[in-house]
Amino acid sequence: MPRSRTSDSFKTRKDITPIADTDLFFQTFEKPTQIYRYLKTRFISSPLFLHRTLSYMKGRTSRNNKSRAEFKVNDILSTIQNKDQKPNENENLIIGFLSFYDSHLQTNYVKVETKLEKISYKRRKESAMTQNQIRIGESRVIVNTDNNGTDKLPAVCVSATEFDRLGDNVQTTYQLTFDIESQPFTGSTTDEPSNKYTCYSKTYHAELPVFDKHGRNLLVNGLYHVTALERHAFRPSHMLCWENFPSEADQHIADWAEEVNKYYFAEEDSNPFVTFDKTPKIQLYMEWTRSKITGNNYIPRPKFITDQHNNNKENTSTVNGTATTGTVNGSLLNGHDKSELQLVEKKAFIFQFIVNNSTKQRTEERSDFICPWCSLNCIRIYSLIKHLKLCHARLLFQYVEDAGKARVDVYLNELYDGSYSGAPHDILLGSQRQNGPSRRNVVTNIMVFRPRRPTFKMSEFQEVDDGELEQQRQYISGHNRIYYHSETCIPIMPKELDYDSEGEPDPRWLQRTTKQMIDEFTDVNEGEKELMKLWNLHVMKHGKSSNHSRFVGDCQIALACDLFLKEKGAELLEKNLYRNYVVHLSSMFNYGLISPQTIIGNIRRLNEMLKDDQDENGKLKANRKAHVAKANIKPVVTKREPEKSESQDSKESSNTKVNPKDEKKGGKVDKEKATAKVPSKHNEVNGHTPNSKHKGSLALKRKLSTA
Amino acid sequence: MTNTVKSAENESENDVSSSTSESRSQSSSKQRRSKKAKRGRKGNQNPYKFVTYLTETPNTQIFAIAFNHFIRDRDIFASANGNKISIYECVDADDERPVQFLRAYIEPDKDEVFNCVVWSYERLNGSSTAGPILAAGGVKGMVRIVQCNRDSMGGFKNLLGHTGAINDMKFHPIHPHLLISGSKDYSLRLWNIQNSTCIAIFSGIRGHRDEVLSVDMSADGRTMISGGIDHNIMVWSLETDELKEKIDACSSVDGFGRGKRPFAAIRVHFPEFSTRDVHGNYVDTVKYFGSSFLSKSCENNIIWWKRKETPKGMQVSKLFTFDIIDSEIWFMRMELDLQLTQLAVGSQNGKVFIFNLDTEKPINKRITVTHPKCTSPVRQMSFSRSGNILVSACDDGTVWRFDKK
Repeated sequence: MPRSRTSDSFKTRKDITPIADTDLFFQTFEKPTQIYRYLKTRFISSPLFLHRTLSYMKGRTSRNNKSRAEFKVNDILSTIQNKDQKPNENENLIIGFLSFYDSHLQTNYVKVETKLEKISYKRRKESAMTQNQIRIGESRVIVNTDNNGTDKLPAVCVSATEFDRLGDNVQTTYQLTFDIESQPFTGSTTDEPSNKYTCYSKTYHAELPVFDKHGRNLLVNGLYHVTALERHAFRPSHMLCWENFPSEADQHIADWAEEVNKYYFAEEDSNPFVTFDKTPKIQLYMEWTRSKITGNNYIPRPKFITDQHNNNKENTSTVNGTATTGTVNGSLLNGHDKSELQLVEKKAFIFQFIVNNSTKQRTEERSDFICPWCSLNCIRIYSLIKHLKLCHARLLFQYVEDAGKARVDVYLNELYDGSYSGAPHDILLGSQRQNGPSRRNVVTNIMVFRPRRPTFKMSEFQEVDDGELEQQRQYISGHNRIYYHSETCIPIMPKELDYDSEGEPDPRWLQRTTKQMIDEFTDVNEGEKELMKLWNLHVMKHGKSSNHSRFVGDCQIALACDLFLKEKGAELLEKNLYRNYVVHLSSMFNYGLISPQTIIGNIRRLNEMLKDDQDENGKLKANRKAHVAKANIKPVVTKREPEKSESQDSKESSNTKVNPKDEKKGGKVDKEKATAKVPSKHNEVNGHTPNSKHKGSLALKRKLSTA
Repeated sequence: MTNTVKSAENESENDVSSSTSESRSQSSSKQRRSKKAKRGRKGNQNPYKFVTYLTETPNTQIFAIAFNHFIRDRDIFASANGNKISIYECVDADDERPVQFLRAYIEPDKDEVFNCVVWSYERLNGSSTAGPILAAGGVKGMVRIVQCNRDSMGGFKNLLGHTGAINDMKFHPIHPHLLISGSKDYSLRLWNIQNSTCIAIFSGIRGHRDEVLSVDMSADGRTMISGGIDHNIMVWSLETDELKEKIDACSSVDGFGRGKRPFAAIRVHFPEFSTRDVHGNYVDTVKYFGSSFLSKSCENNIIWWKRKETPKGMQVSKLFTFDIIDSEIWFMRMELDLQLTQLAVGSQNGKVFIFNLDTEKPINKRITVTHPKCTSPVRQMSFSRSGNILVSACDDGTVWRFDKK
């Protein structure tokens, strides 16, 4: 879609709307509209988020968090207790008069006389009712102006004692009646046109029920607009309780409006709300309180919370719900202060749908800021367009102010690819939205992000939209896809991304199979097998990725030998594998893997270890003997070397490598010293607990020696 | 017959194989048939009576059918036909429609073919009642967990990890959230379906060397047995220290691996016992029978065997062989009822053979349950909780209901 569009181009073509173009319009906008309509209903049933929490939807927040600052836990209790208390018991009703409206009235003040009407009737005979009126007071009320400037309101107070119940078996309704009498206008009214409704003195009457016959309170604190009709037009009430309205309540309103029109306006307009606007009405402020009016019938003007969200689903309180629909006796109640509802940007605007650079459709002028796709009241134009841009990405929006008229251009976003941009795990692992909210997967974590909030201005919508949201924050990219562990093929969770599952430490199964497979050899003796296991596992351990000394080449064999003695030397001697190791060294020498120096160094090291512990030394022979006796070991054989030389070698080593003196000494020590001492010393030096094998060999040795 | 063909793959080949098998076993089967006929007349009892059958659409092969044994007073079963799982209820046999369709789950992927369905239950959060859930696995290698009594019967959890088709699954007999699955990727996996985590993978150096076709768990849930295309039957222990610790630890993470520490599946390479001595062909069903085992290959018999301690180590000791006929293609499951009194197995020409196991000594006497119209291979059957209803699923997309008289 070409982006270069001038306002002229569609002006010239806007009148041409053949049928084909209409079809094109429907084709273009049908799909996104259908989708957004579906999303709207889904959002209503299970919302993803609350609009009022969005920064650009400030208008929808009705709460403030001021009370949080001084919140105490005990407040919860007192709040509940207050709720539990029977409402309006021993509370006085204070009625403040804001103003009186009648466009035909020319006076500045009217006199309002407030009366409380008690209608009580016996339960069985509803017709026989007694009625008495109590005068409450008189007030002077300003006419046709909003008394914003003044800080005092004329007020009357109905004391709680007036509402006392007479008895249980008597049902009483209470209603307030207002008799409004216009003072004769003192100014020059003679030049008034002959308006038949203009007269110098008029009396109006208005009624407002307080308690119905079941004792239910019908008034809550707030602002009321009560229609007042002229005495002659007033229709006395038949219905004292609006809760008992039949379902055709609207019909009733219409009837009423018709009647009012007939009497008052003699017009055909039957729209009850228009009628309501035109009817004279008195604006009241009602408050239930325990205190009484101080001062001579004036109260300080209360601050009215501006109720800016007429259609707000989230915040609609029960007060509004009943007040906006209920009428009683010609009095339409409205909890809202209409004059304050409209905000600064009250400008009407239109939506203009554009396909292929030409205007296809326009909406009528509208001054409500309700999103056409999700019926969300955004309160102001800025919020609306911001909402449209952010929540309806399939379409593009541009705000145009043209010759004092505002317009929102709507095009199809052809760059929209509909790809899923959330965490892939949510889809793959089946964490679909069930009933109610569920914890979602977090791919990225923001610890603190406090961007500078941009000032809201309409100019940001006036640029041509390219469908890309400008981002203040750099999102971490690359995590909107799923990765798998290579070994187990299980998806890698975001939390595991930092762990390396691909490392190859020598696994236990491999150690186990290595041992098993060596054990299965039939052409090597037990000692050989043991050494092979030790050596192979040693090389395996260091051959894989470990931080230090990784064996990768032949040149490192010498290093491996040194490390082997260091780590496994004790085990080697314990298992009596001295000679096997020497054979292993020599075979490695034969292959040219190690130098003679390494062999000498290793053997010297081993001998030192032997010398270090005489017991160890003595045990060597004993173990060897025992081992040989037990296993009937053949001479050590390796595949490469002929048997003869091997056996010679082993003989030699047994004779030469081990110091005969030491051996004898050890033998003597063993013979002379008490056997009990041997293991204890062994413990001290080696840090090993003597295992059963050694014990056995010692015992055997003892036997041999005694024999 | 060296290798039989899963008839799903190639119809013509299947024909060939079945014809050859017929030609091979013709004489013997004839003999048996005559014998059986005699016996049938003598005993004069075929306890099962045909009630009804229904054809699923599309009428492709049904590989899996399973009664829900957790529901006490209703007989509800699920059958998997391609990518569709249908749930039916068996009502009174005299009813106008003795098998009533309840609802279905259809996998979005049209290429999916479910090989197995198993039932379990889950505690619905916040309530003391339990809702039935269904686990289904197929050629896509993904296990779908389906909640059956939700408003919309959607898949709500997926278990990802297998790299090949899933051939068989079983739930743990004690913990209903532990699921074991056997797959074409030579492995078995143990899952915790509560948080979709894989606890352990049973495969590796001493594991199966070809597709795993069947798994079963012992009644106490301590061991499990698996059989596969590699002719191997393996017994795996779930009681090793490492596994026990893992099973305990797996509930510490949630479905996205969030927990105190990341949870990684362990790999079990070494079965407790492994043998190739029982069967010389694909082992397509293995079942626990107390401490012994029943297993079936495509060799026209079912073998009852146990492990025996010998000086050379554990050895197989065959106890009895149940003979069947015309069951030489593979992926034909045998089934036991809940009380382990009846053993059922299908044949490739539409018959279901039932052996009575409720005797002192095993008797090699099979009861044939069939219907003239039922002629295609019976892949799997299932007994109701009471054992009075038998449903069987055939390759032509039909489901048959037989009732005990």
